[in-house]
Amino acid sequence: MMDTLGFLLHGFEVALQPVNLMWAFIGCLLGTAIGVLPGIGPALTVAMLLPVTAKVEPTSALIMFCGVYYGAMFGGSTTSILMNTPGESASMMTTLEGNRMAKNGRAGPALATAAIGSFVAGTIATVLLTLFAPLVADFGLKFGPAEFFSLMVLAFVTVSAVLGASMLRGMTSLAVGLAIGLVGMDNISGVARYTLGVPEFVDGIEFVLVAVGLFAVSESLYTVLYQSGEGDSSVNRMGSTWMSAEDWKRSWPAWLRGTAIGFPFGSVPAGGAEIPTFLSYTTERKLTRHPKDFSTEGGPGAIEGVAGPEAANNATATGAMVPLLTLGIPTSATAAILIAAFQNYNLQPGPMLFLDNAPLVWGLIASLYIGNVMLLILNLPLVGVWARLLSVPKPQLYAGILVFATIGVFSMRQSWFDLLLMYVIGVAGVIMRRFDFPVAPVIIGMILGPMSEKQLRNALAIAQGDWLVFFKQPIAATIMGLTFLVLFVPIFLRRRGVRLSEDD
Amino acid sequence: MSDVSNVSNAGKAWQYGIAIFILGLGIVYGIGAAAFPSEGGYAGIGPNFVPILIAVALGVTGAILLWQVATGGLRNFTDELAGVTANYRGGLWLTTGVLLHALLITHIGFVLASTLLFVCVARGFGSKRWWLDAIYGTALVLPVFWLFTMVLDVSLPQLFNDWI
Amino acid sequence: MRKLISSLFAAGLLAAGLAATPVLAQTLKVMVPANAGGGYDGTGRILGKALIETGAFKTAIYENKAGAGGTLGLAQFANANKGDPNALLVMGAIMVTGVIQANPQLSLANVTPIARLITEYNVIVVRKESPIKDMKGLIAELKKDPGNVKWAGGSKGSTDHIGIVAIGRDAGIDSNKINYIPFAGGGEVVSALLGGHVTAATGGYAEMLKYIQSGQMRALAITSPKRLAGLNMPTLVEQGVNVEISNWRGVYGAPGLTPEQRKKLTDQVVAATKTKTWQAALKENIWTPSVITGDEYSRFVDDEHSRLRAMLVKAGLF
Repeated sequence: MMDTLGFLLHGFEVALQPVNLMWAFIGCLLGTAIGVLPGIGPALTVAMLLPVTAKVEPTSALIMFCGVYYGAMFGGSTTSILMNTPGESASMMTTLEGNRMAKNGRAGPALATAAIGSFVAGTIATVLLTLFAPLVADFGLKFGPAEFFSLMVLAFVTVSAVLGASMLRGMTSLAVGLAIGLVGMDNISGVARYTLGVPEFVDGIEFVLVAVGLFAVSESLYTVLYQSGEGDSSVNRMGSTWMSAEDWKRSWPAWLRGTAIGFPFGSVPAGGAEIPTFLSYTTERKLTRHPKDFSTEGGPGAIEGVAGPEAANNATATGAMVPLLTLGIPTSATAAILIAAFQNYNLQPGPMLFLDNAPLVWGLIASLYIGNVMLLILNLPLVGVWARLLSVPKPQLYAGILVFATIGVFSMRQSWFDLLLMYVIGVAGVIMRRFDFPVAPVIIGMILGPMSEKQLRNALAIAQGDWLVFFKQPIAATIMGLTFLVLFVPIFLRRRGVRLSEDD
Repeated sequence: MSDVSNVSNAGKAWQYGIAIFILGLGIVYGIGAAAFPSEGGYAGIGPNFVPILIAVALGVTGAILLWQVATGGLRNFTDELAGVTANYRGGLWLTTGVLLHALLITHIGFVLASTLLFVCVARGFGSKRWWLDAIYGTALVLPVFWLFTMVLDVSLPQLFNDWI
Repeated sequence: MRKLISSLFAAGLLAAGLAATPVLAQTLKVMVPANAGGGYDGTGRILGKALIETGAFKTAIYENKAGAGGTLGLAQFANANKGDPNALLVMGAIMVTGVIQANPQLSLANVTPIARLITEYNVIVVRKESPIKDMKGLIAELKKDPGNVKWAGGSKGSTDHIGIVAIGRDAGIDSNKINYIPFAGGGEVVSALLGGHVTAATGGYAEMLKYIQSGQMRALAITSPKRLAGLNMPTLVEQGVNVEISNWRGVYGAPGLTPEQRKKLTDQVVAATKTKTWQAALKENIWTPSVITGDEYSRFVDDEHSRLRAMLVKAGLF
């Protein structure tokens, strides 16, 4: 334990050198700027900066990369809140409440709770990483296909929190999302499914394309069709740019719960960043004392619905460092590129890294702390600037949103076919909005469907066709038990006459 | 579950359309799933298993939707836009902008196509001064373009080498 | 409107900050049709590094797109890079079997052959906690209860899979009795094995090297015909299993390259195989260099296509 502390102090000594602070700042700045553009993620940015490793010493380069990683995560939430366009799947849940808050003049508090939540979650997760990395890594390995599938079932069950006014229409949206997710080649058998012979469909339909179509394009179309005549020329009323005491009170527990959900997920190899944000959102939705604020209830946007998922997102990013540093297993595209950066210095991530290169590892961990602080310092003053962006008149605001949306979609694979598909999905989104079909379940179905199918089939193959495997293995069984609680406790309580805050 | 919505005839036709579309999608997916192999080795389930489940889900939700529409319309739904006349002219401008952008981007380059999109969308939302929008659009697009092509090296269609 | 201008000013500041970073040109795009951390990934990234060392490119972007034997990555590569002389697709025997099995709309005929680079041999590994000590032990388990021996490797019909089926046949176990679990990338295979979710795993030696060195995994056998120099690891043949699995890797260029562009890219790749970076990687990963280019390479890929197809049919996989 003393060793850990000593190493960490030395790490801080390294990371706090002015030149390293400068690299951290450049990384955060670059990451935030990149994250704001949909379709361009931290993985690509870090990859582009990889050649820097030829000129800069390892600690500085890794410190900068961590800055980019965190910065891009945060930048993604900015577009979700301001433009209703999730730049990556992990910031989808942020759009639900965040954009609703922005529409009601509360963009400032939404951005602030995202920034501070990211900081809090990142810092706590880094502490956990410092203290428990090897322990957590061993636990993470216990997650095989059966455990993953149980998690997916839990995610599916809790999805009802985003279904909106009608269970039936919510389920319809979810089924459509699952159907979209099936398009493309089956990962396990290599059979092409529902591709209609269109080569563009062979590699499936990209998440960014559907998200941008359903959120940004359909919102612009809907607004121009049905709301362009009314009211003042700017969409968003300006409110306070800062969080009130009430906002703080509601954000704190959400940050902590988000961290508690996100960190373990990040440390599970191949866990992904989406499920923790879903679970965090639904947790907040179930526990809130202000159910009427939630956008799914037609409310003005609930701050805990931004605070939780954003914290979970960032904690997941930090959690991903656990298998990376201790086992050498990359759990995300960005983590994989960090491994490449290590290899450029002839360092091999894995159990030996902690022994052979302790100063570097602890320097990196220290830089995670510093990156978090840097990001907060950089972004809090920007909150006001971003929020002011919404006072741009409607014509130019929506024109700008559409330009950004098409940039993201087009730059993925330079295909005009994708742009047309984006427009068609946008039109479908307008019809869905018109008749109150929620759009979020489409995206959730699209993400969870293929993941859960793959895990289900692999889990069954490992168990030789025994469906009870999900109840025989301790971790899977625990998760399944939790799922049943989530499903049946509300029904039981209602029957006993206990009224829950929500009412279906 | 008693508040059967009051909808216009046009709204009703759309509701029928949606229900039939979902039901039809379920049938099409079911037919597709029947063609996939069912062989799954030790897993016991093959590449057709999940598609069949999803086809059934689509079919069931589609059928219930159809029943709801036929018996008075979607439940828990008030058509707030029943009397509103849609601004189709604005929608047409926006559509034109997106389609022109998709068709022209590989020919006139990223910057011009995106600026054109900006101008069309702003026009659709009622902006009168297209030349001013063209300036705003260019000012927005150029830095992004330079960021992509020069810093990130993501190649975008260009009219002149690396500048526009 | 002043507010708009001030926002634009803020955006301008960001852009200025970005412009301060070095302006990069001549970027190589490498498509890796597997998840990060696997064998294709290592080959692609080292080749990219070597190409930068030759000065042909200043920097490289790597894109990972896993699934269906690499054909998902192939489709994306072919769609996104038409006529781009600075794009490379990492591929190999796994891609060829993927194409045979999936019969995708976009096949290797749609992209431009550049060069075969290396040949690699697989290893059969178990995790360190496993009671199985050698190939004999594993085969005994397999004969006792074939379904209970879960093999992890690349996608269905890959060389990994074909090799495992061949081992089963050698032991008298029918191919449909082999319980093979396909994963999308090397990283997933590693965590499934280390977590004890599968019995044994197979993969390229380069992928498994660091886990073997750190003691997390135990290598049971290498699939080469003879022991490799400098490597104290028994072959399958030595342990009474009459099977060899070799896995070659190469690169393809974008669709629609002109003959000049193809030649230039081929020369650049060949020059890269002469660099220190590449030579060091060959040694470190025990890759056997096997460079061929041009028509010879196209013919080789065609031959592999027929050979692997026959093996898949024999194994009852196709």
